[in-house]
Amino acid sequence: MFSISAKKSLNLLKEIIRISNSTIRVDDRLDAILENISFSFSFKSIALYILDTEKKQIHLKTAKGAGFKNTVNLDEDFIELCKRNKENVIFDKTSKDFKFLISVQEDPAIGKGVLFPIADDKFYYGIIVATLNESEKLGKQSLELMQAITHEIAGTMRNAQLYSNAKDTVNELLVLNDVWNAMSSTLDLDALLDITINKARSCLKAVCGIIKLYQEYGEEEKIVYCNTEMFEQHKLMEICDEIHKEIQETGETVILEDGILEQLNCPTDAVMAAPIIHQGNCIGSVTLFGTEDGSRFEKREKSIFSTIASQISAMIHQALLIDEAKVINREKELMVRELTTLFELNKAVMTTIDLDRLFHIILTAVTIGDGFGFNRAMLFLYNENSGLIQGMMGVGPDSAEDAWKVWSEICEHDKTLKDFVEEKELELPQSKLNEMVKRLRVSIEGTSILGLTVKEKQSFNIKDVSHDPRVNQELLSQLHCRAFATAPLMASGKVVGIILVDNIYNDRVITDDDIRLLTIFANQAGMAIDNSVLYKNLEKTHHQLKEAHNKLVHSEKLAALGEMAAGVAHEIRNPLVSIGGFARRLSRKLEDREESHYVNIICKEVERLEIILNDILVFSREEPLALGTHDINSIIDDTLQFFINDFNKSNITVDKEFEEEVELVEVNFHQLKQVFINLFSNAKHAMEGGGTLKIKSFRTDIEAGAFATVEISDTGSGIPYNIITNIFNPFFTTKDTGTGLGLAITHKIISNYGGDIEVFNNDEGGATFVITLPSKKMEQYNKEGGTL
Amino acid sequence: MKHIMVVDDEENIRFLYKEELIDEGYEVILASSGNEALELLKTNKPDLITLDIKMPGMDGIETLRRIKEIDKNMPVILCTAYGQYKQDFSSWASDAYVVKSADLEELKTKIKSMLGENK
Ligand SMILES: Nc1ncnc2c1ncn2[C@@H]1O[C@H](COP(=O)(O)OP(=O)(O)O)[C@@H](O)[C@H]1O
Ligand SMILES: [Mg+2]
Repeated sequence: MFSISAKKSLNLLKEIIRISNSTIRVDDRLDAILENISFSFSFKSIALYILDTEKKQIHLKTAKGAGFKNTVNLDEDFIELCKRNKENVIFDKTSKDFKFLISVQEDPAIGKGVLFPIADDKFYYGIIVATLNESEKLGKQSLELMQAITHEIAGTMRNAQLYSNAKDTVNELLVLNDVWNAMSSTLDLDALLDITINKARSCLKAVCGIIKLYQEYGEEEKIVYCNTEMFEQHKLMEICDEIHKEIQETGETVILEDGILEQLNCPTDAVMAAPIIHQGNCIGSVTLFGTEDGSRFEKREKSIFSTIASQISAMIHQALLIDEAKVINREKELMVRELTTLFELNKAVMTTIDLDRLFHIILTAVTIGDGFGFNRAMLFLYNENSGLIQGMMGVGPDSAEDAWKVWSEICEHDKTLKDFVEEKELELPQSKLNEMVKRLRVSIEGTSILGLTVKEKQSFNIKDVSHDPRVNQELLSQLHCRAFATAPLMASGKVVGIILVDNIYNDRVITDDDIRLLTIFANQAGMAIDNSVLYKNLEKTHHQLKEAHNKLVHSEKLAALGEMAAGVAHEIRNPLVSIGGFARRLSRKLEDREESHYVNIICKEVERLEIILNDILVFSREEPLALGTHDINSIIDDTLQFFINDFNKSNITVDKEFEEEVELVEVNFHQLKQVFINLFSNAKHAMEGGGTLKIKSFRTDIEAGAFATVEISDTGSGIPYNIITNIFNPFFTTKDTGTGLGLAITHKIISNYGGDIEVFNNDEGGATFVITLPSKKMEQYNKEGGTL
Repeated sequence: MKHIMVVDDEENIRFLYKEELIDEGYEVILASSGNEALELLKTNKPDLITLDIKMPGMDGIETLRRIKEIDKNMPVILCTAYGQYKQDFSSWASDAYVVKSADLEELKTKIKSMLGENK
């Protein structure tokens, strides 16, 4: 009978409790416990088996004595057996279960075995198996003691498991913490991904890792590797793509199963992949290949990995947001800069309606530092009617030396656009550039960037003039620059002009941003120019109206004067006739005597007074006239009668070229005579030193009717161009003794008949007046068969 | 020798015309009003009459009408101090009209042509 004293039992139990609560490793504790048992009991051998997590096998943990199998597969019966006998099972050497555990052949002395389950009220942790000699028995006391001991072991094992679980969790947290720390070290997405995959790999003890972001993520694929040298990289990529397809659907982290691995022909049997989710879309995946110790990935790793993957997702989201924010910020900053510039420029441009000043401000805005800072700027206006682009003004230094001087000066005075605009008297640019620009005139037809700018209503940035066939060579020879840009000045959808800029001195490349801003500004500037032109036109119209008004007042005065003149004409005329008549008589009587000179003066002055009197009377006449049909040739002939003497005296020959009959209908003979009197006397005055008066008359029959035309050409002085538009105005005269009424009356008479009078200077000198009047139609001639 | 009657209310004009026309080789009868002219016509038969339009009493137009009543074929030249065409005198029964001027050339030419003295 095998028994232990009570005291010994107590000591043993005390020792085992001490061991199980010690801080040494759990395996060492179990060793020590088993040692103590084997020492206190007279078991032939003893072993501790631990149930694996699957609960399908028990593994030998520690043993005293030989013969125990390392691993035992548990069959249903055996488990049932253990469950049924929570206390202990004693079995015979011949029993099936006994053979399971021990190979009896090792020691024939072993008679039977005892099996003690290690369990608490919830779990089995394992078993203790002990062997006894055939003859030996275990007393009740010993069995109870063993039971207390196995309870203690169960407690130890539970504690150990709890501890290990806690340690694992702490480890996980440490891993994640590590990854997070790494992640927060930078904001750059590429760096982040790189750090993360490295950390994930090392924490999860994987061989290599890949993060792959697909198109859905952004503009292009992004792949981050780590440690992939071990395998064929393109093979890994292939696998990643396949996995991605898979997890895109499920959105879950997976550990690949053997079947799939085989199907993918995977170089390692440990593969784990997790999706990267952004705004509900799977935009990529992170995959780990192989483990350092050749084991498979476990659930625990999967959960860590999953956490890391979602962290990557969050990180990408953040990075994208930051990127976006950065872009927005940059845009905003730019916009604010642009807006302030444009605001300042517009304010500047709106300060004036004086065109020259406006041009100057616009060009200064484009060249000054706080504007656009171009080296040179030129402004052209486009005339829609003529299709010409005319240079108006150029601003910028004439040479590189000048440029440096100007710029350093500006830096010194720190002059801003605002200061510049506020200067009361802007000095208009006196540069050679300005002179050159003013001489430039380009047609919009043919090849030229200026023409294109107008036609296409868009800006051009010519980066290399020598290789751009659209550049007008003539313009180029004036500009000398290597690159330039143009922008249309727009107003209400129309091109009113062009701004041309270059950086000839510092060679700064003109960027697309420059062009964009310049274009916006050009729009504003175009509007300002348009306004200014409108205003100018308004001013001009106003001026014209005022002039017309003055003329009206003038002609009213004239009419009043005419009436009065008509009233007194008779009274004045008679004495004039007497004075003049007798003076002439006297002059003839005196003949060559000295005194005849005085009398001649009287004659001349009376003549002049009579002319004035006639003119005034004619001009103020409005009454209806007797109208009839007259041959224009006979009217001319009749008029020439008056001039025979004068023309002889002045050495003027008359050259007539009349068509046979030129009939005028519904005209007043005397009025027409007045017309020719006026024209002939002007011709006479113009040919003081002699000449030829050519009178040509002819008839034209056209669809609209028949016309009589008379051309009266002299060989006199001609009419200076600056006065040619004035000669028909009443009272316009260049003569000391003129009234300025002759042509005014002539014009009035002709237009009253629906005719026209034109004047031009002859190439060979002298002036030609052309009168056109409505005439009798050809058929009427035929019907009536001839003249008056 | 042709006889010409000059009718004008202005003495100086009558005097001027008389002197000039005598120089031209005509015989001149003077009348200072329309009435006087008609009176004279009873005893004289001039070859041509020059008639001032604006005269006190009977004006030139009325005088012209009466002259034509007496002798339909009597050549009459109307002389006016107005502009050439205040009214179109050619529409009146006169044969011609001239605007008075210190230069009597036009008047003399007209007289000559009406008397058939043209070259
Ligand atoms: N045939 C001409 N040759 C040169 N100048 C002329 C001629 N006809 C008219 N003119 C110019 O036009 C002006 C106006 O002519 P007009 O109205 O007849 O007035 P007046 O003869 O009294 O000066 C003249 O003073 C002169 O300068
Ligand atoms: Mg004139």
